[in-house]
Amino acid sequence: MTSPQQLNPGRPEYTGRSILVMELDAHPDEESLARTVRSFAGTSSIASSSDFGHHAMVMDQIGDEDATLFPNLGLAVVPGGAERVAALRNAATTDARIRSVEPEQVMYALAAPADAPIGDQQLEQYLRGYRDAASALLTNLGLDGATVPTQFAPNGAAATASATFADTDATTWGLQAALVDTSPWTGEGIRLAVLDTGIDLTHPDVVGRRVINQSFVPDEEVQDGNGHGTHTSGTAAGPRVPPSGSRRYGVAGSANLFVGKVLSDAGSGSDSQVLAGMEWAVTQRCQVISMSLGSNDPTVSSAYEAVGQRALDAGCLIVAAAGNNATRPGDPGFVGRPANSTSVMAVGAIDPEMQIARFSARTGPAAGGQVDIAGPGTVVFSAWPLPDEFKTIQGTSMATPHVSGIAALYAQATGATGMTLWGEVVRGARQLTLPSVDVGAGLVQAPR
Amino acid sequence: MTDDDGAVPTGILVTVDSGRRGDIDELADRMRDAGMTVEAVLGTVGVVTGTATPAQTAAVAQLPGVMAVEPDRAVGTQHEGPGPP
Repeated sequence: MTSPQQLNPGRPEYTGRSILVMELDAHPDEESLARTVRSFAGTSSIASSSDFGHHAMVMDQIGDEDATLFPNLGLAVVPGGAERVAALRNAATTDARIRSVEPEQVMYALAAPADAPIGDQQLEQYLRGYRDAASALLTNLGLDGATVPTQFAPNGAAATASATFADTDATTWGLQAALVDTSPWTGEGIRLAVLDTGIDLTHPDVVGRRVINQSFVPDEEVQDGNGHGTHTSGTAAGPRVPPSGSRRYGVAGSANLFVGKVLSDAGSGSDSQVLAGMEWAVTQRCQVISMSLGSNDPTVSSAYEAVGQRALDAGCLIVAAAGNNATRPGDPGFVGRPANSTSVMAVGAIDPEMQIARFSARTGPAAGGQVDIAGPGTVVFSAWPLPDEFKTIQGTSMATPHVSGIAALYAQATGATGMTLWGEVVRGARQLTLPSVDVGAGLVQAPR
Repeated sequence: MTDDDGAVPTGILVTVDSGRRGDIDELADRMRDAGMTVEAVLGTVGVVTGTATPAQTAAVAQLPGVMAVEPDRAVGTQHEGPGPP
């Protein structure tokens, strides 16, 4: 691989190599990408993260005649510049595996710090990081020998012997099952962020409460036009004695509530909006971030993995919904992004009979794709934007704020933050006679 | 820098090395030099978001200090049921 050079910009200059953009959907794994590169670019030598295993990469081994594969981007840099692009493009038009072929441009580094030339060491560092990301991807795809567990202990008789809960006039079933209603802790002094569709600031249980809020959705205010965010915020931090006269439904009623709107009123958003909200919450020194969001995508994201770890290091625990892609009993699903990062606590959903919810995603083959803990996630009563005022809905979205609110209680009770707080929450869980691939450590329990 | 043959820019997430978060503004300038349209520089968590064509993305991925480049994908609420609750 040739180091990019510092040159005068103005018109594109080319490196003499081409960039092959492959259709990721047509390539189930890195090897299939490599096959396409070999057959298409006529090169047998492909440098890729996985070639280097756990050994340091030797830059001299990558020559100008080699291709470099970036499997999670579906990109390869192949020998042959502009003069070859036409021929490659011609071949690509009839090949569904290829999206485009472009000449690689020289990269300009006009104001690169004098002490940071683009050298082999930095490139090696980059490729090592890349290798780790690709390894995670391979693990995720089940290509490293990992297998999806298929057999579990029967979960019938023993589990149904557990208590069955129901909403009362005083509290929701979820607060009873998680021992919140008898816990002396309120989350006072703890900063708890909910990243969702916003909140109804006019709700009788929200009016008078200090809610620090910001919208990261273009052209939308934090005022919740969906309802989901009002519901999850209500579960995480609704008041101990609701001014509305409702039964109690909130966990950390005295926490300092931060609401970041990262999903639109339609209930959707992008990673970049979520990451912007995470940046805000970590910068605000929130000890807990609750994210009842995700995607049905098993790919582990390097961004969420890194951000989750950096947040933990900064004393901030990120809790996210495991996902609703299961259709039990036939299809147990898998934990999706971002809950599938090892640095993000993934929450599954159980019902009032202490059974796994039909929709609650199971631990997948990815290194971080495991369910860490479970919370009450069906028939969950909480706040809803006016005029409805309240609504009972279900989802791993509803289980997540139970865990986030209880994490805030542990933060108050123990003073723990970050990874230590993670440990407190998981150690406090009540074991269930359900597979750990479904519920992790078990049902979240408030500190006594 | 010109677009490569009219290729359409798409959203990307650029994660920088943990130790480079202090220089993230300079790194973001290098990404702009590589043709990326930077939309947000998240210095605490160490991520730069924006848009780039495939060729620009490949250039950004090769910058020193860049740990990973990924597509910016969709996420949504995880309540169970059809459509918004």
